[in-house]
Amino acid sequence: MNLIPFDLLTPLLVATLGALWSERAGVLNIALEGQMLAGALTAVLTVHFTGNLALSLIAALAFGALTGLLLAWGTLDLGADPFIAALGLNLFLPALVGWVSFSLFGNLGVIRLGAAPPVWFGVPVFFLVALGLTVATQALLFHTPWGLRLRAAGTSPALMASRGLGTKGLQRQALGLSGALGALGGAFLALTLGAFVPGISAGKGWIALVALYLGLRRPWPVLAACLVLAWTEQASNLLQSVRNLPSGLVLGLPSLLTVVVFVATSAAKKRFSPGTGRRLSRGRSRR
Amino acid sequence: MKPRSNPLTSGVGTLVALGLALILAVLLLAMLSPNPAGALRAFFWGPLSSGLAWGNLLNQGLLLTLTGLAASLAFGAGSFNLGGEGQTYTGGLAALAAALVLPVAWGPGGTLVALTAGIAAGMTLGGLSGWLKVRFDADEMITTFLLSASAVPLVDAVMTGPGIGAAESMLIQSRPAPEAFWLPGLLTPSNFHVGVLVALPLVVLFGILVNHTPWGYRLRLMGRNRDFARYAGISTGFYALVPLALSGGLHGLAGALGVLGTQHALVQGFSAGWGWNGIAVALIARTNPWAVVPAAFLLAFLDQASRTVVLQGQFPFQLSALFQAAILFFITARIVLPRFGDRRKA
Amino acid sequence: MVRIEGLTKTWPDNGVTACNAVDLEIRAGEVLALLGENGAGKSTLMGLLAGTIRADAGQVVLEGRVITPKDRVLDLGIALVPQHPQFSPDLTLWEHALVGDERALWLGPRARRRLIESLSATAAQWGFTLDWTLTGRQAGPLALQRATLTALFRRNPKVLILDEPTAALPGPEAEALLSAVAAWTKKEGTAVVFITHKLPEAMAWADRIAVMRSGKIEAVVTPAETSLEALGALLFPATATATVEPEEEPWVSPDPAAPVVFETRGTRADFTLRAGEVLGLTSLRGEGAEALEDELTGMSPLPEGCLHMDGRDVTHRDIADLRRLGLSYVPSDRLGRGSSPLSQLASNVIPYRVGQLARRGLLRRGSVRAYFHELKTRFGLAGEAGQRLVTLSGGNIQKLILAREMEHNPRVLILAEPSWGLDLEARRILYGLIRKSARQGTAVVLLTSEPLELFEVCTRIGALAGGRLRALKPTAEWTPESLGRVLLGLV
Repeated sequence: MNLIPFDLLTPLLVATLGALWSERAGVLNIALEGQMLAGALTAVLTVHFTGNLALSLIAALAFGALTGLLLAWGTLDLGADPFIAALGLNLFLPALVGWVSFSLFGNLGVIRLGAAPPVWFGVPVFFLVALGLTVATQALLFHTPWGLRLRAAGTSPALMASRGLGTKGLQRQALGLSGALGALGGAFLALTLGAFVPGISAGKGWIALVALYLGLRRPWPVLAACLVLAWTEQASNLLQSVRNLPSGLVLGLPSLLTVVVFVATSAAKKRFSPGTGRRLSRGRSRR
Repeated sequence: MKPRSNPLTSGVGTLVALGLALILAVLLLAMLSPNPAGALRAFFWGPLSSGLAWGNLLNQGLLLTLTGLAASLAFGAGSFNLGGEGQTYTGGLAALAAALVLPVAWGPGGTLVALTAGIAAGMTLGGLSGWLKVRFDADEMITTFLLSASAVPLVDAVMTGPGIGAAESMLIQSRPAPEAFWLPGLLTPSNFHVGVLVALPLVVLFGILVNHTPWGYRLRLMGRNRDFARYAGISTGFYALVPLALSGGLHGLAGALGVLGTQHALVQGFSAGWGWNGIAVALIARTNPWAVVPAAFLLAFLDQASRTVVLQGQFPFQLSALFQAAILFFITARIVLPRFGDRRKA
Repeated sequence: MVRIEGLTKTWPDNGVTACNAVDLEIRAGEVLALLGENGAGKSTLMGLLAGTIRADAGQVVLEGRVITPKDRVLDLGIALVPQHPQFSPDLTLWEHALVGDERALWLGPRARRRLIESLSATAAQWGFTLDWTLTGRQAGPLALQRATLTALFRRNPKVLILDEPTAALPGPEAEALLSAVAAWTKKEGTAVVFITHKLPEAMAWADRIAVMRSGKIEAVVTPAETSLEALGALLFPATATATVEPEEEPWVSPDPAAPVVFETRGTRADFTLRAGEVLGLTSLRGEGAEALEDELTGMSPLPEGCLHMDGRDVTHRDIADLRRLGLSYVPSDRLGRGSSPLSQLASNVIPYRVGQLARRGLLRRGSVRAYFHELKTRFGLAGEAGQRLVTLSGGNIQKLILAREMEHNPRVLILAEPSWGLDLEARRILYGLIRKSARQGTAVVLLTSEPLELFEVCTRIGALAGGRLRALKPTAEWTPESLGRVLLGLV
């Protein structure tokens, strides 16, 4: 049992950061699961054909950004419901991945790679990248004008309008970034494993959403939340080999915990009225 | 942040969207298949070509009817139920557990009890989210999703555990339910069975309830304008909780039917994607129970058709996912809420 | 410096012309007070000026340059501080101040400290202090208004528009603010327009005063040329003609022995209402009448005191209970609260009737339509049962809502801003309906920000100012000017 299960932690963290960017901009990205899968395949294919690791990451980022921009186009320009459009993307990408894999290799199975990913001083490089992204997210989102405007766009488009600013461009950027990070997470997943396996994302795109809310939508708490989730996954993997103890319990607990956290924060928010000075109360009734 | 779109596209818009998606599919088939004629024939005729095909089509259509009904009920009342998968899975577990525990002598009565257990399990999950919404103002879109996400691994754990887990098997699944409780199959060896037919009277029931009763009127008003509903004296708590509970219950029923009718055991992950399918059906049907049946069968047909095409080697990859994606995309791109002017005071 | 020429704006959904070919000049180095009662068009005019509203006709000329719809007015130098500014619950006040005007690439702790210092200095100039680390959710409306003022001020606007800047301020702070305003304009050669209804302030601090009524500028005077009385008369002229033709039927006084139906005690607006009475309550914007809407109908809890209906204490009851006890309510927000705009007309009129219309649990479409037609005939409604509500005009929507709320002879009827957006004919019908309702024994409360209409239809009129009821008298004992004076706080 590792203290920090890097291989489990890194993809999830990166994907969750992707979710964070989009959520902060006011457009939750539900398509992360599909984007992770697509990123995984893109990375593996690139390594397979070019042997270049860095290039594979860039390819994954690019493709992920493309899917994010596609989502943005549908949502912002065509007026589609962001949730439904993302759902559609989530259905489409795995099919596309399956098709590409089949066309190129004649089967839907595993694509194996040669080398193992690089490690520096006992810490996988990928993890360091993820850590760097966490720092960057914190910095960009909370300490730059761009991040400020993004957060303003996500919480009050009216505020932006009153300052003469639009929100579409920022949301588009957020979705593109979100898709890129989701794909990068998938790339890390596949490259660490050393292969592309159908369904490799295994619900991590959805877990990322859990991690987002458990991590209170801020980068460092998100890191902590992803760590907790990685521990539980690790624990459940270990338990599965022991087979007396129900590993599912361990896996289900973080989501339950997140529900509690989410409900608690909702209840707390309910008590504060928005700043118009009028209370939101529904009027009490005695029955 | 919340995508609170109103699923009120115009009827024409929906048809256009479906038409576009179909045209796209046909084009793809024609262009990419090694044998376009064969592909098209497999596509349109395949699902109807044999008893087995019919059976699977009917089974899937009716199951989608159930989940579509579930999603429509929640949607129509202004709530989002994203927990369909977990509710279905838990319903399946509850039904199986009941089947394993009840005395075999109960026969069909036992089946009914097991089905009820499935409904109750789903209702509990859905109702819990409803309660959290009323009591804590917690967004049900997220709580249904999270509760479902926690339920799935928990069910996985329980179903492989002592007393329930299968001794040895290729798939990860539970012990089979006693044969006395199985729902008789139809058009064997397809997935079709008697149980799913219950979807039809349920459609009628909810069709009448939602469209022709005071209760349904209030429910639909909640979906159209919650502030108005509250102003008019409608109990917003009741109409937030009950639709979610009912929605969960229907999903649970679908799960129970899947277990007792088709697989006769709880198979891991059998409910994957069932929630999203239901939502897609609800969108096409614009949350009207009457329209759920044609919408469900349309999607079922498309799914079976694309499966046939792939199985027969006439097309390299899964079309059905593309369809659903295209349909969803086109449909929501049509959603434009009517603008009713600036509501400003001078 | 700024010339407003012929600005016109008619709201499409109710046909009201909020601004009618308005001409106004705003000079550099001056403080211009814009007075007028609600509905006069002041906010619309300022919205047009600040670019938040699109004009139908006319133009704004800033320092010789015509402003086009594409221009970002804020960048050109016109800034509007609304009374209730837009805000984000999660961002802090200093972040609010920055949005759009960040002036730095990196907003680290040092930059934040420097920024807060500079913001506090500006705020001190205006006579207040703020905790800039509060989030939008935590800050009250006053803090938000002040934060927005500071933020926009940092952009060195040429014209600063302040909407009711002193509405929530006690005397000394209001003075501090206004004197800072005056000093700034003189020093920088900028201009400030402030919307207010506090006449003494206008007299004390403005260089010129513009009075607006019914979409037009009635007069522009300097304080020297006028007096409080004269301004009061301009706003509430004695010769204000009735807005509608007088009813043919004589106005029947209510029976003084009629039972008390609705009563408030210990609140900021105490009254006792009998069956058949029509009580009008009015105030200028922000002076207390609007909040009554939610408090008297069970939509919000009563902050103090108690409410009785037919002798029963209903202080803690919500709207559902009050309706069951016989209350009806026509809200000011017709589309957001008073109807379901996307639903059919028939669906919009039956919420209280669904139980009765159902036979053996089923709601038949035929009975619903029949009921709609019945109402249509009785009240002269427009449209077909199957039509969507949004397709109707604003006036017709209001008629439908009135019909729905009145048709079953409620014990108490509360109307909030019922005649807003209605033309003369529709108003005539409205007042006729109210009178008829009163004759049939309903106790009516009419909340409005158009004080003059109360003379049409009310038996008693209550005037609120500063959040409390100041005077409550039979209509015959009021005149438009005396009412105006109480509302303006001159009495």
